[in-house]
Amino acid sequence: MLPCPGRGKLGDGTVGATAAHTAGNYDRIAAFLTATVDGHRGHPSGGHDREHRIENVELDDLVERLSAARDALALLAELIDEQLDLVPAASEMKFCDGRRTLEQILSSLLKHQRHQVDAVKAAVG
Amino acid sequence: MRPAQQTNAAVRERYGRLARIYDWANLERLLYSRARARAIDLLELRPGAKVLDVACGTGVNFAPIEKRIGPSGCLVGVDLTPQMLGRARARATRHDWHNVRLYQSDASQLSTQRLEALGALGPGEQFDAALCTLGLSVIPDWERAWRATLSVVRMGGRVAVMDAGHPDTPGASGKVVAARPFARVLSSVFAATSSRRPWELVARDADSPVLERFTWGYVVAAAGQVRSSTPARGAALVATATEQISELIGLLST
Repeated sequence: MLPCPGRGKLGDGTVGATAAHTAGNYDRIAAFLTATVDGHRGHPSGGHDREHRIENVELDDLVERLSAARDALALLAELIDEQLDLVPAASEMKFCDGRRTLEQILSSLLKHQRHQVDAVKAAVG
Repeated sequence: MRPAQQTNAAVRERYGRLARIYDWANLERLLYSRARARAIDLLELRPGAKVLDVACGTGVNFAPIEKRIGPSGCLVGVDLTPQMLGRARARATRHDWHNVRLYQSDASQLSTQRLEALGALGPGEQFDAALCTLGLSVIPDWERAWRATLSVVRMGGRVAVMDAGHPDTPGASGKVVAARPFARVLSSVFAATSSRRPWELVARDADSPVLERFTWGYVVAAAGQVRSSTPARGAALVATATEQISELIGLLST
């Protein structure tokens, strides 16, 4: 499996581990979004879990997870300005500090994800 | 007085005092009745429809709405001022409209969740149509109230606004110029801001908007269909996420 430059701290530092981590992040973003819009407490943790290890990564599963996260994130399109301007309570979710609006948090999370995708692209390309 | 700086408390107090005289003091027949009727026409209501009347006041819209939706429909009215709602409730009782439900609420705080909590909507339910007549020129957070209204109407449902304000070309007609001081007095009495032009929100946010002017151009009825397309800000985030994920899937698949 290819090493992923600059992502050595993510599991075993391979493309597979980085991709799995990135997919997990999209899952968490989708869950966070759903919880915030529905007004549920207890946002999903921003912590990293075992998907970083290469032995846990199956390509088909990964693609399936990514597709599911992409579908879940389509909920964003239904948000009105008022919802995007909400300030979610501080939680363990990255960037969710009780000051940023939902739109700012999501933009920051997606910017963070962009770096991960770029890292995979650099390694594969 | 500067109505643009009104607070909800000030509006509630003003309309609390106006409630008893509102139905004749606003010169309905002379100024608004044709525009109001047209706004309600433009909602294209059918029997059984569920309709929201935002800032319903004393219920001036109720009779033409009831005529269209019939007893199988449902009419929900919200207003900030208890005294205005009291008049509306009396009107509904007088006419035996058992399908009218009235709630005191700040229109800018409306949401499906809030309306569900109030019992005005069932779980997952939305309105078929909503209207706001002579409300958006008064509600302090009027643009938020408009967005909130759109959020509780189903996609493809209808929204209508009837409101007053200065015409586009006040010098175009002697009648229009002559009416300006009169309009200024009415705006002051009813705590309305004539510069808001809320019908422009309909043109901006609804599909197939219709806009018609009445009363020397001072009164406008506007309506349109709630969009099935995505709001711009959320859609931009979706586009970003979709592009990233699709790119990652493409990279993994190579």
